[in-house]
Amino acid sequence: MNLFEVKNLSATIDSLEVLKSMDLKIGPGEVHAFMGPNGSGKSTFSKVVAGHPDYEVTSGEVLIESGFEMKNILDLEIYERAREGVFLGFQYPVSLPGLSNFDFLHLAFNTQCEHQGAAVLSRDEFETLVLAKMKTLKMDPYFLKRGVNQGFSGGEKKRNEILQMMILSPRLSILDEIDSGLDVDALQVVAAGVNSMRNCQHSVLLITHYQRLLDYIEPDFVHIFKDGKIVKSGDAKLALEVETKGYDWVTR
Amino acid sequence: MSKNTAYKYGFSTEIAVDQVPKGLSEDVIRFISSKKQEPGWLLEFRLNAYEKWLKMAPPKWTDLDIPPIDFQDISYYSAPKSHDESKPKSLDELDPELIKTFERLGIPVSEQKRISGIAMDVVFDSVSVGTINQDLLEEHGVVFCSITEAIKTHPELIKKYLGSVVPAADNYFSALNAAVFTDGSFCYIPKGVKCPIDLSTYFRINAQDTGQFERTLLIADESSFVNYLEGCTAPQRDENQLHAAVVELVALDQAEIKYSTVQNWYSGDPQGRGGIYNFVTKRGICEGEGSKISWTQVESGSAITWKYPSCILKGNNSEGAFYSVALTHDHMQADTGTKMVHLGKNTKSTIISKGISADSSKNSYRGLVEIHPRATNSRNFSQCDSMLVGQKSRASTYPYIKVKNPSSTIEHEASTSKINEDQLFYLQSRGLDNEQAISMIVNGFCKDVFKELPLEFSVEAVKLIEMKLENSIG
Amino acid sequence: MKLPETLSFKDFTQTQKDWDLGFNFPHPKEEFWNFTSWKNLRESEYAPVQTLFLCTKNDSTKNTSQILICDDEKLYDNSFDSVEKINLNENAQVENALFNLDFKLASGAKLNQNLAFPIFFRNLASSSLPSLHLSLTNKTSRGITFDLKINKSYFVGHFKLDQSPGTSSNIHTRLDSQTSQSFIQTHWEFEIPADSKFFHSKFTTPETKSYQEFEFTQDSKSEAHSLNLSLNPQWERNHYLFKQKKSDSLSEFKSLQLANKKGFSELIASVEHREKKGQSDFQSKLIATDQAKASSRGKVLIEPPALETDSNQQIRGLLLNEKAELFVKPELEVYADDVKANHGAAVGPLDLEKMFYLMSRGYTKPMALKCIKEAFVKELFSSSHPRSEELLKNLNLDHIWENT
Repeated sequence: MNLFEVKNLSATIDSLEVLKSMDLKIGPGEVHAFMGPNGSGKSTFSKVVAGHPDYEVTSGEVLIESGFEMKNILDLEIYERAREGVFLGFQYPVSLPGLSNFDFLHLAFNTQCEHQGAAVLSRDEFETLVLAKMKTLKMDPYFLKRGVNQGFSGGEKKRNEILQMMILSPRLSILDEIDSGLDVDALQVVAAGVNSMRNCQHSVLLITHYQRLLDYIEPDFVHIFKDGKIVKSGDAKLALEVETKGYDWVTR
Repeated sequence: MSKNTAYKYGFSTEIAVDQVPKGLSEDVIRFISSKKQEPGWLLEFRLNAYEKWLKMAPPKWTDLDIPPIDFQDISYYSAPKSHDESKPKSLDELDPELIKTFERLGIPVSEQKRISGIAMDVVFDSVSVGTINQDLLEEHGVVFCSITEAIKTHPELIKKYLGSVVPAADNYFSALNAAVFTDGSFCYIPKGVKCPIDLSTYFRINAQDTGQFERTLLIADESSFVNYLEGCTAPQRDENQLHAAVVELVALDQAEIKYSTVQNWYSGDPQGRGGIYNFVTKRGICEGEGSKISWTQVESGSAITWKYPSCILKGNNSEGAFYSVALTHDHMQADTGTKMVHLGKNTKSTIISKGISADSSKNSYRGLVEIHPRATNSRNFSQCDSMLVGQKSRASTYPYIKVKNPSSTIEHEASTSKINEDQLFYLQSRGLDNEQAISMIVNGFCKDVFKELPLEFSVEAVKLIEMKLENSIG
Repeated sequence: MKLPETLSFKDFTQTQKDWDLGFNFPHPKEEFWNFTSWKNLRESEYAPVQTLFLCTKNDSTKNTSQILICDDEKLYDNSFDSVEKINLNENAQVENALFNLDFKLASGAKLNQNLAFPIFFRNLASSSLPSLHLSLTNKTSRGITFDLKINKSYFVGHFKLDQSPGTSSNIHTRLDSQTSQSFIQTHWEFEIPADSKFFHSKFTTPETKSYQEFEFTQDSKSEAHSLNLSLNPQWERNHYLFKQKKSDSLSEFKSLQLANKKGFSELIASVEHREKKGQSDFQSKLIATDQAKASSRGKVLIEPPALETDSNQQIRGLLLNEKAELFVKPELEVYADDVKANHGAAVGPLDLEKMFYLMSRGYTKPMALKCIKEAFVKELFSSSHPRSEELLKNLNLDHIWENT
C-alpha cells in the first residue's frame, strides 16, 4: 500500500487555476523530488496539501495511509493533517516574535505525543531531546530562547524547519526549497538531518530548483512540474538531464 | 543661481481682457453668473455658498506659514476680450496672441498641429478657450467640454452631481470656490465606454491680481473608463496669486477613473517672493460596487501647496489610490496628502507618497485613513518616504489612522533620509557625475509613483524634477 | 523658516481643531487636566486629602527600596520598616517644610545623604490645585519602587527625581485606586545625568482614572528605558516626553495598552532629538475590545543639530470587537538631513499566516490563537529592562483575553 496518493487534484486561488488534475503516488520510505520552473505550482501543491486557507480545492483527493486504510486528508483541518503526519517545511517561514522557539517546539511535540497516545515530556526532558537534535544540525542552543524565526537568517530558518521535522517525526515531509539560502556546510548538515530520517515509516518530497541538493539527498523519483501538474517523471537521472538541458527540453 | 533652469513658463501674455474690478461681494457673483448666462438655480447655488463662506474662517491646523490673504484684493473674473460666452467656441477664432502663448507652452491649438491622441480643454484665466478633439469624443458619446457649456447642454447632470462630492460647506476654500467658480472641465463617460483617448485640461493663469477658481466635474457611468490629465502653469510675478479649485469625481459601478496632475505653478523666486497659493479640494467618490479612482500627482511648483486628493470608498469592493511626488525647494511649502475613507466592504486603498525637500523648504505629508464600522475586510497600505536634500529643509509625516472595524488591515510605513551615500558612490564609480547620480537616485526614489502616470506625463515629470533639483544640489 | 519649538505637554493636550476632533476624547471632568482651580470641583464628590502616610521598606537582597504613599491606614501592611504620618491641614502653608526620610537598612545603619525625600504641600486655599510635590534624590544604585494608593480623592502629584552621573536607577510606579471615584493626576520629571542609565516602569490597574505626565531630560551618553503597562482603565491619558538635550543618548519606550468595557486609554509618547547621534526606539501596542477607545500618538522631532540620529517608532493595534475604536497617529518631523528616521503603524487582526504555521505543526485553532495573542504581548518585554520579567508575571494573560 502506498503511503501517500494524490488523485486528480485541482485547486484554485482567487479563481485562478493553479493545480490541474494532478496525480502522484509516494510509497513508504521513498524520496521524491519536484522540479520545475517558477510559478509552475510546486509550492502551491505543498500548501494545498497542508491546508492553506487561500486555496480552494475544486476536485480530487489527497490520501494518506492511516490504520491500513487510505484516508482523504482534504476532509481534515490543518492541525489534524499535521497530526496525521503531514509536515510542510516552508519556503518562507514566518516569524513569531514573543513566542520562544523552545515553548513552541515543546507544545507541538507534546501535542503530537498526546495524539499518538505516548507520554508527554516535561520541560527538562524535552530540553535534553531538542538539544541533542540541535547538535546534529549544528544549531546554537541560543536559538531556543529566541522568538520563533525572529532575526534568523535564511539558512537558520531552514535549519529550524528541519529541527521541527526531526522533533515531530512526520510520515510525509514536504520540504519546499530547503536548500535556498544555505552555504555548502549548512547544506550538508541539513541533508544529513533529512537522510537520518530516511526509513520505511517516513517519506520525503523535496521541492527544489537545483540538482545540488539531490547530490546529497538522492531521490528515488524525480517529477517535473509545469503549469499545475506533473509532466514527466523519472528517476534521479532525470534531474541531471534537466540540469544540463533546461526545462524546455522536457516539454518538447 | 545658475543655468537655464529658470521657470520657463514665467512669461505673461499681453492681451486685451475683460476683467472685473477687484473685490468680492454679492454683486460680483451676480455679474459672473450673468456673464456666463447661468440659470437661476446655479446663481442660488453660488449665493448659498457665499453666505456660508462669510461665516467661516480659514483653517489653522497646519504649520504652513500663510500670510493673510486679502480676498477683497483679488479680481474674480478675467477673460480675453475676444472670448464671447454666447458663441460656440472655435479654436480658429482665438486671439493670435493666445495661440502663440499656447504654442510656447507646448500646447498645439492650431488646426495643423493638433495631435490626435489627446482631447484637451484649455482654460486661460477664468475661461475655457477651447476644447480640442471634442468631435472625436462625441462619436463615442463621451461628453467633454467646459463646465460653462455643460451647464447649458447637460443641466440635469450638473444639477445632480455638482457639489455632491465636495459640498460648499466642506471647507473655507471650497465654499469660496462654489461661490465664484468661473470655469473648468466637465466630463461624462457613458455606460460601458472605455474613453478612446486621454482627456486633458490645461490651466493657465495669466492676468495679474486675479485668482483662479476652476471647478472640474467628472462622471464615469457604469463600467466606463477614463484617463484624465491635468497640467498647469502661471507667469512669474512678485505677488502671490490664489488658485482655489475644486475637482469632483464620481465613479459608478465597475467604473474606473485615473486622474493625473503635473503641477508646475510658479513657485516664487529664490527669496520666496511671489508664487501661487495652490489650495485645492479634490475628492472622488467610488459610488458604485467595484469602482476605482486613482489620483496621481507630481507637485513641483506653487509657493504653497495645500491639497488632499481623497477617495470615499462607498461601494463594496471599491478601490482608491493616491500616488504623489511632492518636490519643494527654495522657500516653498507643501502640506499635502490624502484622505481615504472606507465605508463599504472589501474596500482597498493604496497610498504612496514621496516627498523631496531641498533648500529651505517645508514638505509635509498629512494623510487620513478612516475605517468605518461597516467596512468589513477593508485594507490599506501606505508608504510615505521623505528625502532631504541639503541641511536647511524639513520633512514631516502626519498619518492619522482611525479604525472602527476589527477585520480591517491597515499598514503604514514612513521613512526619512537623505540621499544614500553608498548609492551615490556606486553610480559615480560607474562614471556618472554628481548631478546625474542624484537624478538617478531621485528617479529611483519616485519610480513607484511615476509608473502610474501616462507615458507622456511621466517623461515630462522626470525632466521636471531633474530640472528643479539641479539648482538645489550643491 | 521657523525653527521648531521645544515640545511641551500642552502641544498635545489642547483640543486641536483638526482631523483629530472626530475621535472625541471623552472625559468625566475635562478641566482637571488643564490645571484649573479647586473651586470647580464639587466637594461632595471629591474630598481633599487630609492625611498622608509615607511608608518605606528596604529589601537588601534585591537592593531596592519601596516607598508607598497612601491616604488610609488600611492601605498598608506591617511589612514596612517605617511609617510616617503627615497631616495636611487645609489651611496650612507647608510649602517650605521639608520632611526628610532617611532610608534605614535592615541592620539599622543609615544611608545618609544618599537618599533624600523632601515633600512639599501646596496650600488648598490658594487658587492652584491641591498637589503634593515630592523631590527624590537618589545617589545610590538602588532601585526604588513607588506605590501610590489614594482612596477617595482627587490628587495631583508632582515628583522630581535626580540621580548622580554614572549611576543606574530603577523606578517603578504603580497606580492603584481602590474605588472608582478617584482621579489621579501626576507629573514626573526625571533628570538623567551623563553616562547614566535609568529604568522606569509604570503600571496602572484596571478601573483607574488618571492623567500622568513623564518627562525625561537626558544628558549626553545617557540611557532612558521606560515601560508602560496600562490595563483596562476607565479613563487614562499617559504622556511621555523624552528630551535628549545632549548627544549620544538613547531613549527606549515600550508600552502596552489594554482597553475594555467603555474605557478610554490614550498614550502620547514623544521624543525630541536635539544633538547628534541620538537613538530612540518606541514600540507601542494597543488592544481594544468591547466599546473601548484606545489611542496611541506622539511626535518624533529631530532638530537641525541632531545629525546621525537613528529613530524608530512603531505602533501596532488590535481591535477585538466591532464597537471598539482605535486612533493612531505617529508624527515625524525632521529638520536634519543626515538621519535615519522610520515609523510604522499597523492595525489589523492577528496574522493568519502565523496561525497557519502553528496549525501545520499540530496546534488547534484555539491553541494557536492563544500563542499568537501571548506573543503579541510578550514581544514588548525584552530582557534589557530589569523589571520586564516581574511585570510579565504579574500580567495575567488569560485575564486579558477573557472577552475574546
